[in-house]
Amino acid sequence: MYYKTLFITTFVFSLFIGLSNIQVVAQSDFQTVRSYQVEYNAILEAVQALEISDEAQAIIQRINRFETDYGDQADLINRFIHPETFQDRLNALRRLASAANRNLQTIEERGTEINTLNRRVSDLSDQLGLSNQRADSLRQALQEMTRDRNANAAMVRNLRNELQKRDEFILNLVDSLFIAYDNIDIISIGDGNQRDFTLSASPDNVIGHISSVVESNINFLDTNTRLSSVDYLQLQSNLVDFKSVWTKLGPRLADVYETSAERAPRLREVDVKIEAWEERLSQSLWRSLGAAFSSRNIGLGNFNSSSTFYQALNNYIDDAMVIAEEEGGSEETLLAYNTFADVWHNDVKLNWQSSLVDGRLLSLENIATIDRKLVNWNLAAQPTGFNWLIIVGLLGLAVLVLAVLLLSRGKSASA
Amino acid sequence: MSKNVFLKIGIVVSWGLLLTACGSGLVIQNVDFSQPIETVMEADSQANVEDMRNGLVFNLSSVLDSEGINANDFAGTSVHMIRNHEGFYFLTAPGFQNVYVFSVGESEMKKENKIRVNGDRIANPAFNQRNPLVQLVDGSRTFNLTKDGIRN
Repeated sequence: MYYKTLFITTFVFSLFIGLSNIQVVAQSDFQTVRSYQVEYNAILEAVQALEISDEAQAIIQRINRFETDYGDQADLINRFIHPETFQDRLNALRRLASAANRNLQTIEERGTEINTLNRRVSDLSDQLGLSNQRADSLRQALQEMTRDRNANAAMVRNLRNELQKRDEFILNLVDSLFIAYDNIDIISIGDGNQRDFTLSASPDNVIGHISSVVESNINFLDTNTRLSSVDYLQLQSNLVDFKSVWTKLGPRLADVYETSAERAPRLREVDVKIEAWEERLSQSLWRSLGAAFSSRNIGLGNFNSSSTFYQALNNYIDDAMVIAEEEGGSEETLLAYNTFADVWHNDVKLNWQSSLVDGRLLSLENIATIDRKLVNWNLAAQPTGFNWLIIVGLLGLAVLVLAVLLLSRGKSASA
Repeated sequence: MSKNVFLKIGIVVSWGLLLTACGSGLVIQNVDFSQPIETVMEADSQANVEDMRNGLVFNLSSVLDSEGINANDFAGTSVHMIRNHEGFYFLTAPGFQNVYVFSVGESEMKKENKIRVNGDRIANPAFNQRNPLVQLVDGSRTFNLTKDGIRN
């Protein structure tokens, strides 16, 4: 409270002293006008030299102070600056300052916009740089992808070539394994009667091709009815090979070249045709073999399979041996033996054996059995007579001489 | 008797003055010559001064002689001058002891009065127009002047 009172008292006293001095010290009008003029010119220059809007605000405040400082001297100043007036100059300064302020604000706004645009340009430049980098990366990736694609394309070409080679190999294999009768060198058919077999396997119809081969062979049998036994045996051998290969490769070929839905039906179709083929060939073969034996006056029993054929051969030999053993060898039994042995050795074994074995009509064991039986049959079929007794006597004499010699050597040694 | 004589004489003088006035031409009355702001001029080495605004040119040698100041020493000094409402010029300068009052004649300024300022010589003078007075300010001193002298 004390300090507040002291402060107020000091302030009032200072104010009084100041006012007293103002009253005491008079100022030159000329100096006042010149000060006014100097300040006016300074303000005018400052307005004209404005560069930023904050300075314009300061100038406007300075103009306000200018008005306060020299407003009381307006009449004096008006006389000095006639025909201008203090208020006119003041208004002019304010207009200039306001205009300059607006211009500066506009310029600053433009500057701000320019800065914003520059930043935008900078940002866009950065984005462009990033985009360029990304484009480079994408271009590099694209090049890598192109290289990979080319590599893949090359790989695909290689795989396609390999698949083509595989197809060619398989198809050649099919063509070589599933042979049509038309391509077999059949003895009974001249070259002129053979026709070129135009069927060939293709990747789109491998199983169909095999089926066609079977069908073609069936037609061949139906068409060529005057084949020899050897021919039929050769055809049988071919059929056995064909069936064996089909059994092994057919399902695999179907896996490769047929759809899953078509696979089983197509296999079954070929199986059915092969069965028909077997039946047709079997009928012709057994009929031909039977005719071959009967043409030599060898009456084998009926047979229509490999087992019945083998059984018929055994029965024929066994029956002949029984007759020879019961009735003794004679010219007739020997003739019967010779007839059969001639067929057996000169036709069957010489010309048919490989086909019989390959065609699985007779095995080598079967043939050996027949051979042994023929030896026995031969012995049994030999006619019994004088010569036979002479041989027995000579043999007994030889045994006797041998015994004497052994005894005499035993005595010499003991002595 | 004497009153009539003086009355007649007055009438004759008045008519005479009236006739004189009519014979001298047009006169403008109640002219205010007061100059609102003093003129400050710079003297050269020959004590010449020039009021650029009003085209007034004259030489101060006689005044400097009166003040005892050498013109060369006075060169560059500001000379202050103001005209009062009656048309008299008041002139002084730093180093002067007096304020000179001039009337205007034909191509001449004629001293009407020489007002002495008491105390120190004038150091930093300035005239202010304070009709009907002219105020002389010299630092902390002020003087109210008429053509006849200092008025308290």
